[in-house]
Amino acid sequence: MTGTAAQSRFLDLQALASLARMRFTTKHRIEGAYSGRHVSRQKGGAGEFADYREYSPGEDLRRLDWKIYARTGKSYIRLFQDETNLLCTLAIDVSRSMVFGAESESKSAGSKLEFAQYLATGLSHVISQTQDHVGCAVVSDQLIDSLPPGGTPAHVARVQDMIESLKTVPATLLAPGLRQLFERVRTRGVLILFSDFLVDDLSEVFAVLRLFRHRQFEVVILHLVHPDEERLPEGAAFRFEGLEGEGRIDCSPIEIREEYEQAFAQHLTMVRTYALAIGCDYRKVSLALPWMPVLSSFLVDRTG
Amino acid sequence: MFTNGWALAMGGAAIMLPVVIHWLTKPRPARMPVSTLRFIRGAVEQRRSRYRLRNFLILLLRTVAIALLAMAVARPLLHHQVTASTSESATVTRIVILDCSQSMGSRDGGIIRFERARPLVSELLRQQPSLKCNLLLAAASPNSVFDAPTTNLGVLRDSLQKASVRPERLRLQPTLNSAAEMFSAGDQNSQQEVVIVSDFQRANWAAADFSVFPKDCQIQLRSVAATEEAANLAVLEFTPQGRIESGREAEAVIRIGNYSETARHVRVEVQLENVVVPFEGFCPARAVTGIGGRIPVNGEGWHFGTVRLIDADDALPDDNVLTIGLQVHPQPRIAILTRDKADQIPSASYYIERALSSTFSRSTSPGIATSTAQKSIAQNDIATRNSDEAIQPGTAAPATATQASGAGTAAGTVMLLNAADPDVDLLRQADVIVLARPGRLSAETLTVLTAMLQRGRSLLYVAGDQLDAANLNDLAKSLGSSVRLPVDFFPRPAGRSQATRFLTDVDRRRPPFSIFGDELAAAVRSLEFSDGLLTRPAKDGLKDDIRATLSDQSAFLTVTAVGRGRLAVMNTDLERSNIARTPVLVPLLGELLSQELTTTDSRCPVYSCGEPFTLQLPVGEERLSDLSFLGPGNTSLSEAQRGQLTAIPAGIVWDMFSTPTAGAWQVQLEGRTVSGVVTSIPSEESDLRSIPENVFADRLSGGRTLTYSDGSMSGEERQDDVWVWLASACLGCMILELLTLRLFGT
Repeated sequence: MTGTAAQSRFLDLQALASLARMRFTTKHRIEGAYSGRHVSRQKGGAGEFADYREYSPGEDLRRLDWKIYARTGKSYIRLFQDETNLLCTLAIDVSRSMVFGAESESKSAGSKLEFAQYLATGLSHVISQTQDHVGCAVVSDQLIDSLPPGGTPAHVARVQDMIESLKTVPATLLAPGLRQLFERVRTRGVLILFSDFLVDDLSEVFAVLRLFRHRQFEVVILHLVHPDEERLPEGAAFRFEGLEGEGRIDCSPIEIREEYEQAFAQHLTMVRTYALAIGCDYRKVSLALPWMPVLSSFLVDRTG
Repeated sequence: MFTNGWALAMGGAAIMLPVVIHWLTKPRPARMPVSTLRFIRGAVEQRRSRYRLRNFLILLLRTVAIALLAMAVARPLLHHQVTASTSESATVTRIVILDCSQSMGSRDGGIIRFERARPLVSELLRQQPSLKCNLLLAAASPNSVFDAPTTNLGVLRDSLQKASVRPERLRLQPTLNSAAEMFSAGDQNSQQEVVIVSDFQRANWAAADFSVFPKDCQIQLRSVAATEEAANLAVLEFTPQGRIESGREAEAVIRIGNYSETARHVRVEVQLENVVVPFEGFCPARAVTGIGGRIPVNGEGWHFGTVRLIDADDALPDDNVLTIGLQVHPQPRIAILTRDKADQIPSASYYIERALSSTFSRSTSPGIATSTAQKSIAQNDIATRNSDEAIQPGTAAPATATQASGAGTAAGTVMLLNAADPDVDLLRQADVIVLARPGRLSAETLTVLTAMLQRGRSLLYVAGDQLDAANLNDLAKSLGSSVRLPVDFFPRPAGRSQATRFLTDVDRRRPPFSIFGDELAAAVRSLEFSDGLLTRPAKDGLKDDIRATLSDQSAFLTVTAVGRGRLAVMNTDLERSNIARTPVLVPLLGELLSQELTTTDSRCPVYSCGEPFTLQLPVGEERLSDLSFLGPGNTSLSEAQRGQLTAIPAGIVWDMFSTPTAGAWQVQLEGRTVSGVVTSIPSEESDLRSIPENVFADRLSGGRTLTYSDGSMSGEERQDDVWVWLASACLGCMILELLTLRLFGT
């Protein structure tokens, strides 16, 4: 347990106790600044033996396997897998649609944003427990704020402060913010994106995420879905008001229920398809469950 | 054209109802924030056209359903044809005669004939240039809206809307005459048309005479009767049998008319005051059947009630109820006016008293002295005989036939009064007066007897004495010239031998001899008559009044109507003839008194609705102001409604000029009904058969141009179908609406 963890209102003692046994792992080879427990993209002379390779002139003779040379007369060099630490960036979408589900406009309790805050805070705690570095980026139609990955308790506390102080902005775009983040991030690592993907530039969003993947990032998408979004409420007539300033529509839910549910399901399928197409780890996160089981399940699945 | 035009106006207003309901029931939307409107907007755009179509279809179907319903209620007459002139150039004088008699209230195909006629007449009264019209509402008397044809057709149409069926017969000829008079008083150069809208009942129209109209008058007959004859049952008449007396069951016959092609088993309920008696019977097809039965009656005086057909289910329900009335009498009081001694046995008065006592003293009220009364009553100056003593001639009663003096208690069923000086008060209490050896009657006695005869009392004169001839002649003179006895009585010439006479000619069909039936010949064969008067046919006398003739051609029994009463003369000396010692005398006298002399007032006079009646009230002029008059439903009649009252020597005459409704009309004196009349629907209105079309052209037209239009035949049936189809279409619209809602998943 870090000393700063208890400062966040999204982590209570019970949550900390539950998170103590969790680990964030990745199966991808990553690049890190320090030695760690994650498999590095680098294969060097230290670490665990990985393979043989035929010697080429100019290579370091210290890695030549003399015993093989003595037995066979052929020269091979020994390869060893490096292990390094993880650089994880938590990108959180703060568009106004993320406030859906809140008790009121002033209280965000129950909203998708609050759920994302819980998950991000928990993940930052889990990642920092294993000496990995965690950073944070607040994205919308622009990169609102960001902290590069860091591993010190003070850094983690700053990350969690940033997460705690998130405010939504009226925006319907996400790709510009992600693009700015992409331009700012220099090292390879893991990008965890918290979003409901209710944006107008969905294709551009995944185009930017594709850039992350090209840079050998592991991209994890946590798609936040509120149960009330999947089906319309029961009632004779409603005046639906868009949270992103789209105006209002008067209609009877019974008239459009079927079409709405089909369209929303189609949207979920499309996001998942886009995500899987570019090699992202996609996970639909329903707010119907508490955040701790969701996080636990997510981490267990990743561990395999 | 529509039967109920008002339904269209209501339907027009109701068409807006779906829109208003839709607007009023439109839910107020609740505010609901959502993440994005993208999906909702897409769904709405995808669905909006679908739901707009749904709403349009539902609104259309609802509106059409209401419109169809309104049209169905309005009952369109699509196949109506106006055969009257519609020319706008020539001047047309048109008189429309609308039959308002009771038969127009019958139903054909679910529609009342009168309601079928109303739109036809309304169309005839449609505004046209150069058209003058008048409307005659015909029933028992013609009722024209204007005295002459007018161009103010709006008033005629208003009168048409207010017109209704009246419980009266159609007296056709006065109506036709009235229309003809209007033509003759109007413009002779105009085209004259008379249009008659009726059901053309056979009973009313068989004797129609159209010759009263001008030769060039066009006669249009518009029938509203259906092709198929409407089956109808009717209570035609209620006839109480004989004299109805209190405490005894009244026999009555109810005549039921079955005007249909099938025999019917009918159930009738007679309600008389608080008594309800069911009658049942079988009525053959197209026949009038009498159903007899007994009805218990309690209390004296006038009783009113109804006869009602149960479960008749016929075309004309109004004639299934008949108001009835009857007068319940006390037991008849018979006064024997004689100069015979009370202890004279045998004597004519003795035989008569014994014979009548066996017939009329069956039920005796307490305090009423009868022939079986005790000797103490006889001693109390009331002339009676102890029957036990009479049977034993050796023990004659001590009293004589003296003047009865205890008037307060002397109201015996059969009482003897001294003919020499009769107590007039006692005499007036009697219903029937029997004179047996009365001696020479005084002028005062004759005057009293004459007045009693005029007011409805009956008199039986047993003429055996020679003085009786003078009495009868005096009585005939006293009755006046309006009364003629069938024979003149005169005494047997002195010294002429006494030949025994026999009955030779007897009227076996009428009382009193009808009671003997087939035994009549055997009964009269042994009768021998001695003495008595001789008779010869009187000038202007009615032979029909002679019920039996003796072998010397003298009349044995005559019965003559005198005023409201009857005078019977039995020409025989009971002491010298053997009739008193045969079984014939008791039934003969009993039947004569019960059937001929005491039956006059039990039946309530019955008149047809809409027609005047005259009723002589048994009340003196001095009580005129104490009388009250009640109409049907016991509604009090005002002076204007009760007609005219005229005082005459015999009482008061009530002239009622119009009786618009069926029911009982009562005259009350101090809260007690003293006289009554019943008005009813004329029986001919129950026979709904129409006269064939060819009869008009062949026999009744009188050479005039006559067009018969059968407005109710197949065309009428199609009219009936129209509203059924409209109602079905309305139902179809509602079903389509449900299907639409289901189709659109609502």
